[in-house]
Amino acid sequence: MRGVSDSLDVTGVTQSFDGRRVVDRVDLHVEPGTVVGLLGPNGAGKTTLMRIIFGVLTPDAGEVRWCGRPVTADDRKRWGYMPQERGLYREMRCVDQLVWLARLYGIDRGVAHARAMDLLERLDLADRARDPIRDLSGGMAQRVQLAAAMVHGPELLVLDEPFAGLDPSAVEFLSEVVRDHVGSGGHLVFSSHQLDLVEDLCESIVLMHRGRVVLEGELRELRRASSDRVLRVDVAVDPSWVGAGAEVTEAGPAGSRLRLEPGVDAAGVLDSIRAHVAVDDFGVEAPSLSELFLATIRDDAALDDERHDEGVGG
Amino acid sequence: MSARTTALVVERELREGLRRKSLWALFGLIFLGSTALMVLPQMFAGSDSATIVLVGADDQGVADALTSLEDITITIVTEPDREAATEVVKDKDADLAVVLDDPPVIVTRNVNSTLAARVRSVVADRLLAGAFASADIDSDAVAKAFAEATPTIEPVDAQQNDREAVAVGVMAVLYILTVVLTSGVASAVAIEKSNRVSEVLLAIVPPRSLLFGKVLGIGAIGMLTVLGGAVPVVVRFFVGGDLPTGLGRTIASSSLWFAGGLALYLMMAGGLGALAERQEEAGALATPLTLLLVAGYLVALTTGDGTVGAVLAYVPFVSPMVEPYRIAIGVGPFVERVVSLIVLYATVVVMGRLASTVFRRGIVRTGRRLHLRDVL
Repeated sequence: MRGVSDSLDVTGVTQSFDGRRVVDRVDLHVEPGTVVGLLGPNGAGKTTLMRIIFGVLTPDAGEVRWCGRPVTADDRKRWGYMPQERGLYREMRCVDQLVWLARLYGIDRGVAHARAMDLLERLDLADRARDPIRDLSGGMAQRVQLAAAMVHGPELLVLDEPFAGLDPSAVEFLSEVVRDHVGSGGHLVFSSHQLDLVEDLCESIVLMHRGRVVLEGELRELRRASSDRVLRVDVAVDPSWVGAGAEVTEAGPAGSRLRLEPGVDAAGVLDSIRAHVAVDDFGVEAPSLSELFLATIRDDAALDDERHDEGVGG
Repeated sequence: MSARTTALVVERELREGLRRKSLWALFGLIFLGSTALMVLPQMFAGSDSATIVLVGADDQGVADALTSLEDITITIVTEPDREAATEVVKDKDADLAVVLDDPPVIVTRNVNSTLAARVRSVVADRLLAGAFASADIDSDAVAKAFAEATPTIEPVDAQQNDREAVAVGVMAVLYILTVVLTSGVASAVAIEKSNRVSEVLLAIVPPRSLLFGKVLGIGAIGMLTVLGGAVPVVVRFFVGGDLPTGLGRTIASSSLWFAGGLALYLMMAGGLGALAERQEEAGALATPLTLLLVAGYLVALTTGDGTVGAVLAYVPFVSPMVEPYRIAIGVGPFVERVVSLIVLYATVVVMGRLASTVFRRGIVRTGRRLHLRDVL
């Protein structure tokens, strides 16, 4: 039984634009101290859902609840939002921008300034505090954007594609900051289309495709529950080397990954590869997040086709 | 809270605007331009002194009469004959020459000049006085009779021209400022939308506060630049002491329409700017407003005092340009002023709500440029 006493709950949210449904009866549950990844390809409806959560858009149907009751404008003042693109004034100085935003959240100017400088210090940007955003690199601007979402000490952080365009060290740095937020009991929802990049950060995921939730739950459980198995080898595998029941999903100089259908013997597949090339390193693993996603949308598409055929037939 | 957030939006617009070097450059340019307009005409104004060449025997005291002229310092030089005097005038060493011949002649490069007319009158007076004396006629009695028979000129509202000029000036300033700021507001809104700043702000700031704050802030910055041009004019009027009667009233009443007109256009510009997907589209979206302004300005300028002007005084999109002009020249009844103002501000309220709706719906719709029908 999920707790609702201090959680964010989105139920049955639906949104259409120009007759096209971009979010279709989506549910989302975020508890304090957890990281929920809202994942899916571009155009899946993630940003629209986040805008609805933040009240920027009013949904056609469904509702957003906070601590068990419909969310209010005052509740949202205790949340922090970081949009997909840089939601910052390019000409404004970093510290001025943070102080101004904090004041909009109702924080006194002096306190706002102290918080802004503290955050910039934590984000290793204290020496750039008086620089306008336009003078910062993309990664630095992204950190200032995160500071802007956190400057008022929000209970819930909603980050839309926070890792887009960042190098691995910046991703790690940002991940640490958001882990700290969750570690201190905060709520966190973030979206990403780079599934493998955020695999280590998510505890719980909601996978969206064409506006619908196609997979959701604890990531560990989902991977364990998947009937798919993946054979990893350190050589480039030609698809003709393996028979039915094994599909090469990734192949390159760094190695290959093969999806094994339920009941297929991994050792047999490995032997058929070894018949062509020597394999030094291999392993049988649960599917990665992106493999789970691909399998899910494949099933989803198959289901759609089935429904379509039934519709035509009937 | 809404008033506080609006104030914070205004504060940001002002602070960031005032930090911009380009604003101060523009302010300085306008200030210098206005100062130059006030000072240069006086510096290069026609001198109030003149040199007159006198030819012939001055039996009637023409030279004395000329040097006694008020408001002008006359220097008399003499030449032996008309040809020599003409050469001096031709060479611009003298303004004109008076040849006391029979008949007398005034040689001048400019037959329509005020100086020539005044000199002609003085010469005629002196020569007539001489002729009367020769004929044993009491020249003082004749002069008195002339003075009594000469109608005096009594101007009706002599400073109407000044006020009219002020009204045309106010109209032009409103027009230019509104055209510039309309595109400025549309562009600022489009930028905030395209870089998603508005998305962050809309989570904490009501759309109306965001729109009104921006309009107020950018409008205030625009007014500051107007101040750069207005200060030298006001100083010139007060220091110079030649303040036209009713100027203050004209400016005060014009400012009511000025503020209403600016608010009306800038709010509509803010709403339309929210339909843009990219900043470059803001200009095209604001074009209908610019065209409306151009049409209003031209119509007000050409027909402001006639029947068309009387009708346009009630049309809120052009009344801010028409009515100040009509007030300045004293056309139209008081009730027209009141109704015009009520209609204007009622429209500001209605269009403010409409612009706010367009802004609220448009600012969150991304992906393509929107049309009004998409958000209404």
